[in-house]
Amino acid sequence: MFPFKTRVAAFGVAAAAALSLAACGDSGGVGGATAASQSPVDSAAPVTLKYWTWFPAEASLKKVIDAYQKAHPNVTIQLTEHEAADYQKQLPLALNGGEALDIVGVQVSAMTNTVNTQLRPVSEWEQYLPKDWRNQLEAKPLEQAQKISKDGVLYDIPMGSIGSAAMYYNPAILAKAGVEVPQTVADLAAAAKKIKASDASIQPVVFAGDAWWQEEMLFTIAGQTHPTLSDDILKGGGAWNDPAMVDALAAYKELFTSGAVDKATLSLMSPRPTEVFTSGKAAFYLDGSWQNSLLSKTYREANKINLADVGAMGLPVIRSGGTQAMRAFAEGGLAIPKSSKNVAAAADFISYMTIGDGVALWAPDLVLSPSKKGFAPGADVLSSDAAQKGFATIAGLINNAGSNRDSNQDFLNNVEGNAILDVLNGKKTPQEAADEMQKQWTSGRYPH
Amino acid sequence: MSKKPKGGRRGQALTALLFLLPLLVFYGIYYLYSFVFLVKVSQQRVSLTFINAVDVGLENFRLVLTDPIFQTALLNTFLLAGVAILAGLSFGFVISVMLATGVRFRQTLYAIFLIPSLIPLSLFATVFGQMLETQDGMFNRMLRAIGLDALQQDWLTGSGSAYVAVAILLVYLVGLPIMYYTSDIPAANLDLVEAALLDGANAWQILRLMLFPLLRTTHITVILSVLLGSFRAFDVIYFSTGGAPGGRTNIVGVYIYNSTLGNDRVGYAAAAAVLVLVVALGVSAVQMFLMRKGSDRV
Amino acid sequence: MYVLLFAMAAWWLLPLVTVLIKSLQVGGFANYWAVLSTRINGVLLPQTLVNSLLVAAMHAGFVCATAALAGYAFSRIEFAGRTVLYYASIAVLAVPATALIVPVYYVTGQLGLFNSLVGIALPEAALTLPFGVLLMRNFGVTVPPSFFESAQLDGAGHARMFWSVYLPLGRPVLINLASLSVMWSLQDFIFPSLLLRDPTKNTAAQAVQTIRSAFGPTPEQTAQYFAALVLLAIPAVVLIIIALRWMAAGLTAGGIKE
Repeated sequence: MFPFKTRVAAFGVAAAAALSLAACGDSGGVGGATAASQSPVDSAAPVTLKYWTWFPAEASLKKVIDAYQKAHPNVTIQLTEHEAADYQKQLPLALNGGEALDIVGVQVSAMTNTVNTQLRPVSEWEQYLPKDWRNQLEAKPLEQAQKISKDGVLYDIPMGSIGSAAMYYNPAILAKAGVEVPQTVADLAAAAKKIKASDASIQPVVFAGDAWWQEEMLFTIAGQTHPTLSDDILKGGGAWNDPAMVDALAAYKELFTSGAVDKATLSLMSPRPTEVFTSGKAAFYLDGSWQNSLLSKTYREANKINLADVGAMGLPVIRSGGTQAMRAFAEGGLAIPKSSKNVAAAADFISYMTIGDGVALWAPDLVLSPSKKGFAPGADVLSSDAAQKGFATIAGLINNAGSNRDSNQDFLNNVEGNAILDVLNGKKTPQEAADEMQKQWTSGRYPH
Repeated sequence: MSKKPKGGRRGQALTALLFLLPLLVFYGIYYLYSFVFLVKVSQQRVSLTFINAVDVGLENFRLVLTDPIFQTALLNTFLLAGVAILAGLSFGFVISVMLATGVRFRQTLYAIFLIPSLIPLSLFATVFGQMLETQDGMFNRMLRAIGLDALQQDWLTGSGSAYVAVAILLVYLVGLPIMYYTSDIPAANLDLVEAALLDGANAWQILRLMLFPLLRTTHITVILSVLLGSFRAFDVIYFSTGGAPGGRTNIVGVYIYNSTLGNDRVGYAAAAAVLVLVVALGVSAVQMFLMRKGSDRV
Repeated sequence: MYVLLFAMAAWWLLPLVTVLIKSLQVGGFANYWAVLSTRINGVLLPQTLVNSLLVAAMHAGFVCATAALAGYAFSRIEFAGRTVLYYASIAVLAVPATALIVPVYYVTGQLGLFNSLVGIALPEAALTLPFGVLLMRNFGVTVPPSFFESAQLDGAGHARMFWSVYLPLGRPVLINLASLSVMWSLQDFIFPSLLLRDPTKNTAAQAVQTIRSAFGPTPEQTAQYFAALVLLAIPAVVLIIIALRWMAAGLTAGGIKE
């Protein structure tokens, strides 16, 4: 009974795939065989593209979508935006359930291998992209997106790159408390003390208490002294109880014991820290470089964020001899699922988003540094000294990242995040937590 | 002579079958077939596409049973049931008794106490989760406001305080026990209580000596139904603590849900589901046994 | 005692008050209009309400019809294996929805019911049926045989006795069961989140999660999120106030007497 059903299901999938391939062939024919320079959808019948993603924020995407729809009146784009962690569950569910989506955002490092069996390789639709599309993109993010897939096939075009963790700050609060931008944890601890003294309602440092964010913090700290540790463990067969990891756990804990960070921040679940910071209730705020938007004056005004100025920097150095560091990776992959029947139109929109005029619309929001070559934010975006310096610092840290921003999601959510939190809460020593992680990593529960 | 409707024994069986047909279809698909399917998938490594399954034998069961997170979750499920039962027997009972004494605004108060249990839990637990924040959460604000600053907690970071938080949440959800008690208290002989009151017994004595014994069967009902409900619990943790800190407040429902939606871990989730089913059916068997005994006695 | 009771009532109202305050903190009542009139992640709040009610109605329909028929068979028809079958059908009372999500996902896919409201109501009904059968069978047992005897003398078969004696007498019980079914369906998050991806099909309980990411972490949008939560709760609260009596009666009837 089961094999029969499975066979039926498999046949169904194959038939659907064949059908949709046929459909895409058709629409390609309508637009013209070459489909190179001009979009093949201009002359086509009305088409609705279902676009699912988790990033960038709806506000940023809406600008691009509106402009695209204006230029292509026959195209309607239905955007559904998910919360990042939820999206990792919902997209595979939807695609496996045969939901006919046309464009999907792919978390390049976290999701490529969970959904790639449901996606069309880029080679299947590059005929609808400009001929020289590869040359218009930076080589590194494209290569990362291809290499992360276990079968070595490129399934998505990344919109750009991001890194983490970055530290944003509110210059007004720093000025009021008479604090300089800190370079080391000792500086940060001293700053926190002064800030607390000048206004008790301000939380000096905030970041998310979610399990996934703990990994970002940990590897950022590890990267200050061992830039390749993350790659070594996640890709190179290294061990979680490596002495460098044990020390990174200890160093992370010191961030709290030194007085730089209050443990209260661990009760803030994403996106609450962002809200606390944007409402002027926090001086420093740690998050990924996707929050570079906060540096943009126009973005702040458009989103009614009432902060006069925002600066940015790397996480202050914890161990002496270390340097500020980040992990970075290609992000915001755009892909076309096998279930899509509007491949030509979807490809055209992806082209618009990644190398076309759309980039100039979302890139000023600074959510990612674009894969498209040659973008620099204008003076209207980065209007202050702190913002300009911050943007440059973070761009430098992304370019010189020692490891990929990568993770094994199931391991992270079940084991790693909790182990790190246990260290921070004093329930495990760094060594115990590291041993536990290594034990679970090799237990067979988390295929890697 | 027995007056059975037309047809003999076989006719009866056929009629019964017709009456039971819809039920059998539902059960056939969603229980029988599902259980068989679960057992099969629990021995595979497979994604939600259910294709390219790799047979792994009983490996998934070994992995689930030895997973400390699963063990904690299973323990917590019983712990949660225990706390919910205690909350029902104490808060639920006291509230019901007070409501039964003919207070004014009785209906309004009744509704107020039931609403948290009856609105979607995803909503209530989400709101509750927001109240737990250390700096801006309502609980700590209130503690500050009434001068009990010392009692402020990092609700979600200490495992002790996270348990307390979950316990508070469960106290909010005593609607079911209140319903049971409210329907049974009038049946209990309240004249006795009034007489005791006239004799000068205080409230505590009345509770302890009179009402608790009088409502013995109701207490048993509350215990059993809350226990049963606890195995179905999911939203209550998923939307409030999410298992924080470090999976300490995780329960089996959330464990299975998260495993199912993980990467190629559907077989693993199925193994966990099979184990939970075994436990749940065991609890159910105990309940039916107790209920039968109870009905014999009554 | 009044002091204690009202203090407790205040405590029970605290979450509600918290949400109300947060929803009005920035932007005031305009927040409510804002979330009502726009699509949030493709989700229209009034539509989630309609979807929830549709699922709830179907769920109640399935449960009442199936449980009434089965309850009659278990209480009024004598057949071999009746006791065993009855206990088998209420033994699954303790089966949690989470334990069934893997097979339900598969079955729903096989039946082609993803993104359909019926596809939600069916597994929900399967989970409610053990309780429904228990309730309807208990009711059937308590009906005095005399009611059926007169019909029998008129030569009525089981079908007619079910229709003209059992059902009319059982109306109050069925109303209880239906209102409980509606409530449980409104509460269900798991099946909708697993099986409904089309934002126009979202139910209210599911929307709590679906709409969340649409609200940016700015003070104004956070307030709007809370306004949305209030709106999602209102139908449930109204329903509870209307149907509380029946729900309470149904639950207590199903719980105690065996």
